[in-house]
Amino acid sequence: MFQVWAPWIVREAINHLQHGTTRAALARDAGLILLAVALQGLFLFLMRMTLIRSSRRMEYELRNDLYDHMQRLHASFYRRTRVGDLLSRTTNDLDAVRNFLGPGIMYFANTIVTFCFAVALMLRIDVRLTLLALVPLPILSLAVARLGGKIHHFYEAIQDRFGKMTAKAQETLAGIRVVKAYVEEEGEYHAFRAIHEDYTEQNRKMIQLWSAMMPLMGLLGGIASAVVLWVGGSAVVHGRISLGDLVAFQIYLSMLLWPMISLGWVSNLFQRGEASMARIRAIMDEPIEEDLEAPRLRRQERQRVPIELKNVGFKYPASDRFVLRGLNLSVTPGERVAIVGRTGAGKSTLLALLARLFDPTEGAVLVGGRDAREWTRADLRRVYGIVPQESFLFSDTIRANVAFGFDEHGAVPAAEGPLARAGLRSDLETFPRGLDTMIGERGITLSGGQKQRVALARALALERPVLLLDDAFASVDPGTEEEILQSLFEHRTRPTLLLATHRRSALLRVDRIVVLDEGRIVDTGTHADLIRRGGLYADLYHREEMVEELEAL
Amino acid sequence: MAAPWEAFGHEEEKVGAVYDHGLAKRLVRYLKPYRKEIFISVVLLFAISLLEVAGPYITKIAIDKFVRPLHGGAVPEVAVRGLITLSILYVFVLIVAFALRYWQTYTMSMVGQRAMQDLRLEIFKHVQTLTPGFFDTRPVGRILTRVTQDVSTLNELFAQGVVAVIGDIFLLAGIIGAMLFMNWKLALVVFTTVPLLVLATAIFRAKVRVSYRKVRTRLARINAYLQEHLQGVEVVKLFNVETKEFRGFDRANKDHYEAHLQNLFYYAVFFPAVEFIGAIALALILWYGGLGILEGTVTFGVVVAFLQYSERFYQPIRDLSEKYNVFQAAMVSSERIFDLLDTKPAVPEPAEVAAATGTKAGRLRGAVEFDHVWFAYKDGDFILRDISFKVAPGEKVALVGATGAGKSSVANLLTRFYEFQRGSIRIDGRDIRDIHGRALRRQIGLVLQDVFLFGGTVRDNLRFGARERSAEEAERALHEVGGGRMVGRLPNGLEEEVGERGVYFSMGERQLLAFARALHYDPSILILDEATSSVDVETERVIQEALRRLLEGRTSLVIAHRLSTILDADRILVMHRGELREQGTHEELLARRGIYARLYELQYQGQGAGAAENGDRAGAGGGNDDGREASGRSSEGSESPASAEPAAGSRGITSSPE
Repeated sequence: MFQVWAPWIVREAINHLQHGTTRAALARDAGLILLAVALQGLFLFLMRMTLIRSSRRMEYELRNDLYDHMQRLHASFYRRTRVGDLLSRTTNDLDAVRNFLGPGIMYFANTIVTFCFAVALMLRIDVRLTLLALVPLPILSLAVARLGGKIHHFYEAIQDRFGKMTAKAQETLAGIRVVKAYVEEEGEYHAFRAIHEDYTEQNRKMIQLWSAMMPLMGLLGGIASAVVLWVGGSAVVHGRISLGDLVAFQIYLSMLLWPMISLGWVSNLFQRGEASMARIRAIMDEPIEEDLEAPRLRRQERQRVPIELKNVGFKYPASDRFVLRGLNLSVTPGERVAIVGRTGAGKSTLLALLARLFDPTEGAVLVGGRDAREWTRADLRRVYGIVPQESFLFSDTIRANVAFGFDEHGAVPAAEGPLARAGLRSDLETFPRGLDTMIGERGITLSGGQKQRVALARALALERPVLLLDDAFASVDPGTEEEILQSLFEHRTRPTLLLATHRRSALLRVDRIVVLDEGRIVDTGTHADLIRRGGLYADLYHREEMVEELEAL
Repeated sequence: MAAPWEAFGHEEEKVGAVYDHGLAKRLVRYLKPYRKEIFISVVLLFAISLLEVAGPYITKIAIDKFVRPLHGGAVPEVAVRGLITLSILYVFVLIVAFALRYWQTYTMSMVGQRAMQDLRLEIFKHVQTLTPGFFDTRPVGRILTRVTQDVSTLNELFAQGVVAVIGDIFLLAGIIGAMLFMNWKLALVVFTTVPLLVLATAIFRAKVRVSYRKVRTRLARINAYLQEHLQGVEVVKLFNVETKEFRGFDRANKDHYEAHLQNLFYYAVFFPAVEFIGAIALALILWYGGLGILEGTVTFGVVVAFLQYSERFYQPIRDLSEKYNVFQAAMVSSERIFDLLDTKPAVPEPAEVAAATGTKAGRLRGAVEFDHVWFAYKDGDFILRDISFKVAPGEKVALVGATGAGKSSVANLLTRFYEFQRGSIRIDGRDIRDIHGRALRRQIGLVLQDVFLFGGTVRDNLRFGARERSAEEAERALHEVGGGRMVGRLPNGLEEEVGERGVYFSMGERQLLAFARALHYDPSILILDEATSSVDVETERVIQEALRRLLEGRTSLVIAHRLSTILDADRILVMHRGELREQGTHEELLARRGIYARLYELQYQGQGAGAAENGDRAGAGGGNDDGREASGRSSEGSESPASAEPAAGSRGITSSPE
């Protein structure tokens, strides 16, 4: 509102000047302008601070909600969704939504207010002149809307070509060995060039339009002011309005130009924001892991839990092939069981079912005599210490990685113990900053074996009653493995051990071995039993013997 | 596994100088081809500035000559006629300005587009000269960023950078000139606000630069956190730490929010401050101009024109200060691009380029000799140790050994994908280091385990590398390897689109396509990394037949996974831990009861039922167990087949060194 005040003062001042005025009056007018603009500035400041700030706040909240939701989504969701797509939801789409809610709304409000007040004052000066001067403005808005639609269309075409160009570059880079081997660099270059030329051509179309659009605004706005000069000037000549009126009128007109343009821009922001919000909502609508009502379990209740599989069958969502079928198995507290089978036999899936990353398609997993589905996931997962096959570590210090399972506000045990049990004591000395060494890109790169051992220490630190180790020693050298197994099997709490493994040192130690083949248990027994029977296990074991022998050669 | 935060690595946080002479000089080279357009553009900008300056001046004349004198007793009709003339003149000026501005914007934007295309093509061409080793250690995504985003950033510099600065300066000079011309005293009074504006802008820029950097690093941190935690979401779940990890995310998110608030504050202060400085100018014009009017030294027209000029005066100054960001971003991007362009291929080409050899050199006989070759991907960590063997022209040699034994490295050296450290490799008695890589590879066919097909039709793929030969020949090659039936099944035959990476074809079909492609390429030496995937019996038979046809009459080195292939070989080389430990025929080697005998029992005997799942051991770590395959989710991250750590891959020659 204060924005339209200043030109009014200019009008007054000029009118005063025409009729002869005093220096004091002049100074007062000048001072009033400063005051008007200062007040206007104050309000602009406040508006920006509230509107934009709240849009940032919204962005913050929405991002938190998204993250929280995403980490509660089912494991199966992540098997069908690319992380890159999710990332673009939380970056690009979130940005688009915020741009609409923040700057979008701010400019929109600004436009409406400026328009109303400025036009009201213009009408007060001269109705006919106002109508004449405003004629080009709706044309301007219309032009922006029309061109805006076209520009949007071109924009999509450009994005599409850009995507094609990126895809081609990616293809060539990913297949660089084949390209080089077949001496096809030039062919690829020409293909890329053709795609890029198409991209440039689409850009050219856009530029053609765009180059016209901005100058067009100037042209239309200018024509309006030429009209004012002519009609308004004549009006002054005929004494219908004053010179001050004319000057103020020109200022109002230029003031209206930008809001009319920004209307088109805001509609664009709105469209994009809407599309992005729909994409974000699609994720928020994905079902999360929900637990049945279950009483919280006390720590003691989780201490000695037998595990039982009852006729368990499982297939991945959207697949008709059973990965596991008809599994029956019972593990008593403290028992050490190895699960053996060929690649793809279903060992990892079995361990994932125990921890309820997935629920069985048929049958049931009983933990502590109760169907695992009746536990809360949190309680159930507190039963296990897990070492997944892929030893995924976080880019943090070694200490933080070992303490990963602990709340930072609670008691966190020293990392040295678990690390020593995982056979990392001597490695630790070689790290530049010991336990506080960062790992990952900003720190040191661990070898495969070291990663596995840190992942093991992470699970051991929790001192859980049941340990699930999925091929946890694959990259660990035999000597170290021996050491680790020793401490693992002789640990005072004697946790239940479930090991998916094919390593001899482990097989010879366990109480019982379960042989999986194509999703079914084909045999169980002690090592000696199974070797005597001479089935798949004996075969696998024999192979393992040879592999280890070969490695030693 | 690729480091998960790769895509948002700290490289992106780098903040560079606004101007670096070396970089600028190199960048200017990309504009050189467009000297003419740029010259036109500058001339146009000059003309546009003059026209822009004309508007307020016309207003001044109108007021002083026609509107104002009325009070002095001029004839209204004359005044109105004069106003009409001036208005028409004004519209004419506007139209000309519009046309020139359109022309200028179009010309300069297209210069940007063209320069951008030139640069992209140059990068693309350059990247193709780099050796596969380069891609082992860098995620494809990062190189793609150079090709796409960084170049786009430079486009802004090309299209709106330097030339726009010149335009702003012209306009500014024009306005200053016009103001001085009309009334130099009033002009000087108005100019006293300029230092204020410059000061405000400088402070704002300095503040925003710092806070904006904070915003960017914090956003990068959020994204890195997100990417890592989404990739490791199962670990988060298994360890029950959703709440704790959420707190971690919230901290990063809040930091980002707060950085924005700080940034926002500067903006919220700056814009009104600039308005206020404008108001000071306005007040000065009214006051000082008004005094002038009272004294009779200034006309109304001048005051009005000054009011209009002062509005236009600030725009170029603000534009100029915004260019700062454009320049800074461009410097960072160009530095990265030039870093990439300056990367030399790791395998040097012979000095006098193979003009002598050419890519169409006479056909090699195909005698291969490894002579005490030592090779390490990483310094000192030798993967091949003292390897020596000879392959006679036309001989079929099978390479066997556990994963990590060095088989793929042999192939990598022979194709000059990697440089070896000691010894020499000769083909037909000639050291391969003296042959141009492309000429050499034109003679060597390579069939990888993972068949890589390119977008386009089946026919395009078959003709890959040998487009000089006819399409009919390509078709014949496909029939020769027994792919006729497969093509018959495709709705569009050879014109069928392959789809992204050949996803529409089965493993067996893709292998046949790869064989046909190699056959059509007709190399004198063939290197084949046999696929380990099991196929049905019928396909297996077709593939074996195709393989026999492909190897016929060619020197071949086969990294063998199939028993039939080994039995068909003239000789077997047994690799173990980077050394060539045994060689001979199947029977000879079995009789020695050494490594081969064990490998045979382990990997090849009884093949068919259990498929070839042999010693995946050494490559473990990269997951290929149970559920992962069934679910179809690749464990190797979203886009880079080559992982960040060469040692972790498990896909043989296509992804990473052994």
